[in-house]
Order: sequence, then C-alpha cells, then structure tokens
Amino acid sequence: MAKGLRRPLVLLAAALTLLLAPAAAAQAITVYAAASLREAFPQIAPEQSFNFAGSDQLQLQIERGAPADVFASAAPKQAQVLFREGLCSRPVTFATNVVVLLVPNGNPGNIHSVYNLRHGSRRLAVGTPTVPIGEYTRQLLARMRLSSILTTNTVSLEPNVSGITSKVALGAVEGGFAYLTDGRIVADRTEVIRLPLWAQPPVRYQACVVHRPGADEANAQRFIAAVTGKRGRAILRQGGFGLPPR
Amino acid sequence: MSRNFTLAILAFALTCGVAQASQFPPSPQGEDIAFVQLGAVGELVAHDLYGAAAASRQLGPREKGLFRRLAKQKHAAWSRLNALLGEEATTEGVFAVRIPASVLRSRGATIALAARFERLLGGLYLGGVESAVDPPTRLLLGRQLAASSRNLTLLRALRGPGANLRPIRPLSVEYVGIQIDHYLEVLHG
Repeated sequence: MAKGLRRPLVLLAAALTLLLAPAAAAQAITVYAAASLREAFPQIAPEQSFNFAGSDQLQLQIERGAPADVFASAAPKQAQVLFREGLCSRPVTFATNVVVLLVPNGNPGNIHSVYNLRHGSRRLAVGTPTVPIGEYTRQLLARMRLSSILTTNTVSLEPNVSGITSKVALGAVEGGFAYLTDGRIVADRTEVIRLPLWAQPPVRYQACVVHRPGADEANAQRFIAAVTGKRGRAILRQGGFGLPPR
Repeated sequence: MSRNFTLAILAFALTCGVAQASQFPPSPQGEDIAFVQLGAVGELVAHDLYGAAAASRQLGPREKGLFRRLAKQKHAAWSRLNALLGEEATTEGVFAVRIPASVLRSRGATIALAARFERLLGGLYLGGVESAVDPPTRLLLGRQLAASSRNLTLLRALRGPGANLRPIRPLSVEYVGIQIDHYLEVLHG
C-alpha cells in the first residue's frame, strides 16, 4: 500500500470506531442482580453493565425508578412483588442454590457442624432478615430448631451475601451463612460446612424484564434468554448453581 | 346396654373434639415447623422405599400389596405435611432420595429399613406432640404418630420373631435429621 494512503485510512478507521462506539454502548443494558450472581453473570454477558447488591435493596431501587433493564433476585419474593406492581414482566426461575456454613481457612472457631454453634460465644456473619440469604438462613435454623444460635452468638448482620463472604474470608468472624456458590468464589480462603439437606429451604433465582420509560426491553429479553439458554446454564452449573428443568 | 351407652357417649365426644379441631387448621408456630418439615422429608423417603419394595422381586404378592398400600399412605402424608409449608414446601429439586440398592436386594433388609423409618418418624412425631406450641399442629402430628405406630406393627409382623419390639420413644429433630439425611443426595456442586 502506498505510504500516502495509509494515514487517511487510519484516520477513517478511527472516525468509524468513534461513530460506532456510541451505538454499541446504547445496546448495553443495565442488569440489577443479586450479589451471589456476581461471578456468573459477567461471564454470560460481559458486554452488559451490572449492579450487584442485596435483592431487597435492588427491588427498592427499581421501585424508586432506578435505570434497570433486568432484575435478577435470589428469591422469588422480590421479583414477584415487582411483577404484581406492574414494574416487571412475569419472573422466570433460572437457577437454584443451597445454603452452607462458611468458615475461614484453618477453621479457627473449631466449628465442625452447625450444631456446634449451640454452645454460643462465637462470632457469626448472617444476612439481615430482609435480604434473601438472611431469610433463608432463618428458615433453615427454625427448621433445625436452632434459631437460638442467633442470640447466643455474636452476630454481625450483613446487607448482602458479599459482606458475609468477605468477613469470613478475612477472618473477621468464625463462621457465616452463605450460598454454596459463594463458597466456591472464596474457596482459597474459606472452607465449606454442608448443612443438612432435609432442612434446606428451596433457594430459587428469578429474573424479569423491568418496565420503565426508556427501558431497552428487547435487549433485556435477549439477556434473560442468554441466561436460560444452553451456554448460560452451562456457566451457572459450572459456578455450582442448580438448574430448574427446562 | 350401659356399655353401649358409654361407647356412644365416647364416640360423640370424639366426633365433637375432631370437628372442633378441624375448625382450626394447623398453623405451626416458630420452631414447630421443624417437625412438619422433617416429617415431610421423612415421609417422602419412606414413600420411595415402599414404592421400590412394592416392585421388588424379593417380596411375595401379599407383601408387595402391603407396601403398595403403605406407599400410597406415605404419599398422602407427605402431601398433607408439605401443604403446611406453603411456598417453602419440600421439592426434590434440592435433593434426591437415594435408597441403597443393596437394601432392595434382600427381603429382610427391606422390611428392616421400612421398620426403621417408621420408628424414626414415630419418634419424631412423639417429640413433636410433646413440644409443639400450636394445638392443631400437635393434633396433626398425633395422627401421624398413630399411623406410624400402626405401620410399625404391620412391619414387625412381617419380620417375624426377629423383630425389634422396643416401643417408640421420642427422638430429637437433630437425631432423626441426621438419620434421614443419609438417604438424601445432593444435586448441587
């Protein structure tokens, strides 16, 4: 190629990139998702922008008009409330999970079973009662007749599951109730103690398209299709999530 | 005549008591839910064993018929208890029931495990009757206890002289939960 032509071509390419960039950005949607999906969702759709937090907080933000296109909650309750309020489409279940007890590496609290917590005087991280992980934890403990461990131990209440895993991974607490998938994310710094299967509450993740002026509902629908599609399910399974039948 | 009269009075009182109790459906309070949840899972596990036993080649036709009836009863009990759990009802999406194949290859082992499940469930319900807070829930657990005792008598008769004749005693949720969990399989991770 002639040397004189190279410079105009480079300029043209740069101009095209600048022109096309806003179009691509316009296609990116905003996904409000439960904190426990923080590893899986960016793998399914890295081009989208995400806001990960406790499902109850995200529900409140959407009710107040936050610019979300998709809402994915860790429990049916939050998505169903938005659906009943006419703020999102009918929710679909796309994953399941189980609750486990995480302890820091080396298990400094010497906790080998959830029943050890009956003795009290340990530091625990537990979700607030309104966040799904907090609600599931309380349900599970009531089913095992162990609700009292929330008063006999020193409990740190966390607004979402990331707070619980961080505290356990840093060794700030001797144990924390989180999802099995969170245990995998911090597997190098924590150990997982499985909780009885019979007492597990059904942990179901649901997603819906948010209805609001200016929402990109078509792309939001495409994102949910990607999550429930073959590749999305494979990524969720790889992350330790359970999958509902298709 | 006076014996018949007494029986009639007793039957009337019982009918009134049951009618009154049925006006107040069970509404488990606080940790009462433990007995309902574990009872539901236990009934489901027993149902799977009885269903498999009803199709086993190790058992005779009369024994299979008994297990078929028991499986039907267990399914009804599971549905009854599960209904109380509402949206948090037990589903096999979280776990799968796994009855060891070796148990089903032997008549004695099948009947022994069936009797063990009934003893565990009976012990759980007895513990529930003793400590549940909600009276209609206690009544429901009491009925489940009666059903488990009846089943245990039938299974002991099947086992013959080698049967364990110890009476049902109250068992803790922790103990029964650990025993039942052996027959559940994780579907995650």
